[in-house]
Amino acid sequence: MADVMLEGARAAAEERSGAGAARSSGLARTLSVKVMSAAITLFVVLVGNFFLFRVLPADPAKNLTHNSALSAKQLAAINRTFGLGLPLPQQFWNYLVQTFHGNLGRSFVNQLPVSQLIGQALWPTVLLVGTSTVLSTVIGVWIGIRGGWNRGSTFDKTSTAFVNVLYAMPDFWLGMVLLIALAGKLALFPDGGMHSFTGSGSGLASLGDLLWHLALPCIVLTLVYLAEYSLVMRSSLIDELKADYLLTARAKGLRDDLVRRRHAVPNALLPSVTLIMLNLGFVISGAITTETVFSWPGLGRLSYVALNAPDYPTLEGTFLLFSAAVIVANLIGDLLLTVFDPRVRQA
Amino acid sequence: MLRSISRRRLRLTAAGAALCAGLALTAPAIAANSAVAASASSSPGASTFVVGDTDAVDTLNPFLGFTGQDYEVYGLIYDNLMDYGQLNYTGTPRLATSWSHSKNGLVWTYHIRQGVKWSDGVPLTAADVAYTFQRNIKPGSTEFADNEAYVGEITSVKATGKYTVVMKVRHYTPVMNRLEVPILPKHIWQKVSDKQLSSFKNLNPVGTGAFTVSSFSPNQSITLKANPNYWGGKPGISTLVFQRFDNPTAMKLALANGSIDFAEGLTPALWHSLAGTPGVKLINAHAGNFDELSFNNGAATVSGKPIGNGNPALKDINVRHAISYALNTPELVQKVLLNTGLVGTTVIPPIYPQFHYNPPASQQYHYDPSKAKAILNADGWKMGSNGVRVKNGKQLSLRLFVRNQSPTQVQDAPYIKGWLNAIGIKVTVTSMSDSQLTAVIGNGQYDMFMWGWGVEPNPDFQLSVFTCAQRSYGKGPNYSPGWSDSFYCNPAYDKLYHEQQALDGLARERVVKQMQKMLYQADAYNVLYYPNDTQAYRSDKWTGFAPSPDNPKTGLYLYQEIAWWSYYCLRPAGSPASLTDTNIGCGHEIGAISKAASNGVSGGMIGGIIAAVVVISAGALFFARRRQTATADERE
Repeated sequence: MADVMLEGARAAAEERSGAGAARSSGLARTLSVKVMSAAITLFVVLVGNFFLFRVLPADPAKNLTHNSALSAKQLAAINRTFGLGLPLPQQFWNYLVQTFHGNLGRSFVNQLPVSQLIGQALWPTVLLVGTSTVLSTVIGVWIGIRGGWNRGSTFDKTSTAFVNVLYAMPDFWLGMVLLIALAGKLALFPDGGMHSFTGSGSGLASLGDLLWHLALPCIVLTLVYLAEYSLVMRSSLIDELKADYLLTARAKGLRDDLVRRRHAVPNALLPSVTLIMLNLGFVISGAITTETVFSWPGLGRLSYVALNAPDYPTLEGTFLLFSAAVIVANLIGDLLLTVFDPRVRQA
Repeated sequence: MLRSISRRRLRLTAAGAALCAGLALTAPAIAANSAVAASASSSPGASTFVVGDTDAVDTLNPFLGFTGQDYEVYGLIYDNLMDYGQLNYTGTPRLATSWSHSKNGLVWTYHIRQGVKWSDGVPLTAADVAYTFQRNIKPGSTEFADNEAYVGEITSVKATGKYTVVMKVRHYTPVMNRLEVPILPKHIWQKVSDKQLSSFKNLNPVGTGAFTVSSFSPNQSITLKANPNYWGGKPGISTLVFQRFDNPTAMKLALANGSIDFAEGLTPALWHSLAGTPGVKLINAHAGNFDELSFNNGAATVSGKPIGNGNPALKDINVRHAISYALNTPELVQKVLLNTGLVGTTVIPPIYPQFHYNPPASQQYHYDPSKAKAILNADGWKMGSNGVRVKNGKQLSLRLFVRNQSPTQVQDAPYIKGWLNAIGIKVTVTSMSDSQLTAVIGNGQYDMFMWGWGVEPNPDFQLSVFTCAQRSYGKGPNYSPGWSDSFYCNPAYDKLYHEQQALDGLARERVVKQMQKMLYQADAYNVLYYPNDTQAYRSDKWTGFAPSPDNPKTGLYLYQEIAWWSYYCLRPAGSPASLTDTNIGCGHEIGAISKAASNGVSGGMIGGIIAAVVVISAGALFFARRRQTATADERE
């Protein structure tokens, strides 16, 4: 995965560096092509999203009410409420019109607007996965730089071993271990959720309460994901070690520390930047298993619960959001590369 | 230029992240401090009872709620006209103090309790009751769909006095004695039009119940406060919290370390693992559910047209009997349910003793493989060379579908397969989603499957499932499923079903039992077991539970069948009872009360402080080092 992304970043950089003389117009064209293709991809996702959920076998009304007394007439009424009795093309047209108006329909389960359900779950996921992404990026890149620069050192050997163990560790398993060890008998951390029900205190206390609940799931995601960043950073830094410009820098008399920070790292950082941007797209889809282990009320859990129902409108809404997030983050990643990579701008 | 900007940005991010990590780790200290402050400032009589469940409230609009947890909370905020009694599910008065019907059973008069106030201070009158039912009886409305089981026969509702309501019905029905419809305040709900209903969130519900909503996070937790004006007396707890756990192991840990007081929906294994935990009592409560092995008795539509591809062998009652004698259900209860359940017989669970039919021991199907083989031999099924029986050139090979959403049923399947293989029946097990299985059943494309039902105290609906009218309808290839999941159809049974609808008391009980006997003898359905509701609570901190039915060992302590008795009389261990309602057997739980919980500095606070010190010193070191190198950088 990381290797593929690395290749992709390289290829993109090379493609752009060979763009030619008419730089500004070329850049504008590249940008508009990127934006257009992102928009088209999004539309294809939208269409696929609709039909994907319609080919599944199910009678939602019947399925939802398996245990209560409902007559055929009432089932028909439920179907009418959700627009399920209409012909498929009509349903599709309604879906398109509503989606463009920001209306994602109503949940089959509780009849609440899907946009409202997603709105409630969005912030917890962004907070949890966002924080852990920042932490894992910083720690992972730092470990990668230290290890790669002093390749073969004790730090490199131990950190690589440590990181490989983390990389192989399923997040739900690590989550359960930490939960049992720290939240169980010791009660150092809460057993789950995002707030204490008693935590309706002042601003600082309730922030503290939130962070206390955030700590364990955040540590789990950070530990599991920092491995990827550190391995990519380490390998790309090692690639740079023998470059001529480092020899030049050393010949100028720069301290080793400065050679690393001013010359090697900025060049080696590019693949990591691409990787981070790609992962940012997945931030929003959350970490389903970690959210479930810690009862974290985010998007991952929302879609898991919707999948069990099955609650088509909620699933469609979350899938659309997840796809849009990945597409937009990819687009931003592409655009950012022109900023981070001098070769692109100088081309 | 650019490089320096990017470096500064990186450093800024690093600083932010370090700060974030620091805060995350210092948080326990802050939270612990605030918790200490909160408990110090609260009054001595205040008490918070926290219930953990794997389910949560998703809406406070009682017409929109679907989950069991929704109904648990609605019943605490709103009152019905009557309750299912705590002792044995007989009707007991709630907002209606008494009621009677005309001689022909078509006009019902309800006398409404006087002196009851809504939680906003407005007095409750018959107008509120009449308004609630008028809103519920409009056919086609969301309200009607939600409550049809209770209001389906009502044609008109009128408040004839300040505290008298008269309802007219099409036919006599005993349901009029059990109107489980939450009574709503007219002055609030008349402002909510039919169109607005589905988007009305009802965030500050006004009710007459024992509790009011204090704070609510949809799908996470809800905090209720005792209603000081509750007509039945002040509840023994001041605050009641329902907290959702997606992870049952976390819920078990929370009960063991005392951060919650009651755990609902533990898996049998987790429930057993709590045994011996100091201060925790385990309840192996009988519940109104059963799990069954269903047979395809001959799938057809309501008009009698055969559909699907069920193996015709199962239409033969002898084959069904042979299967029933081949199943060792006590072993399933022991090994899969870990003894948290009862071996099953008929479709109304024994938790409702007045309606449950228990066949005499001599007539019960029991594990007897040689008898099963003898039945098949006599029926002409000859054992083939490959161990599968054959009749008229056709192999006795059956499909068994199980729900992948039910871990216990997935575990049952290999046992059942093994037992049936042993008597010469080949079984192919397939696991599928609930929605897929619903469609498969509706189209009659199955031989056997496993599912279950939750049975209400009123047996009417459960009995209707086996009537001819509940077979599939519509056109192929995708028929609309009715409620029937066995395609049992017997005019004699249907006749009894309609008969019991117009009866009450002993006469009805007799007919209901006769219907179950009919189903049992026809072997239309094999009720494998009645799974228990495994509950656990902190007996060191709480007392006063009112189990329902009123049996300390097998009654449900909370999540009772359409009843909320325990919440009214729960109280901290050692405090006096405050409830005046004498209908309730408060304090009927197992055993005596052990010592109260100790108060001390929590482990959370100590851990938090240690973590904070470590992180702050690490952070200081990090920044000191960064500053040092930064100066060196400038010097270059």
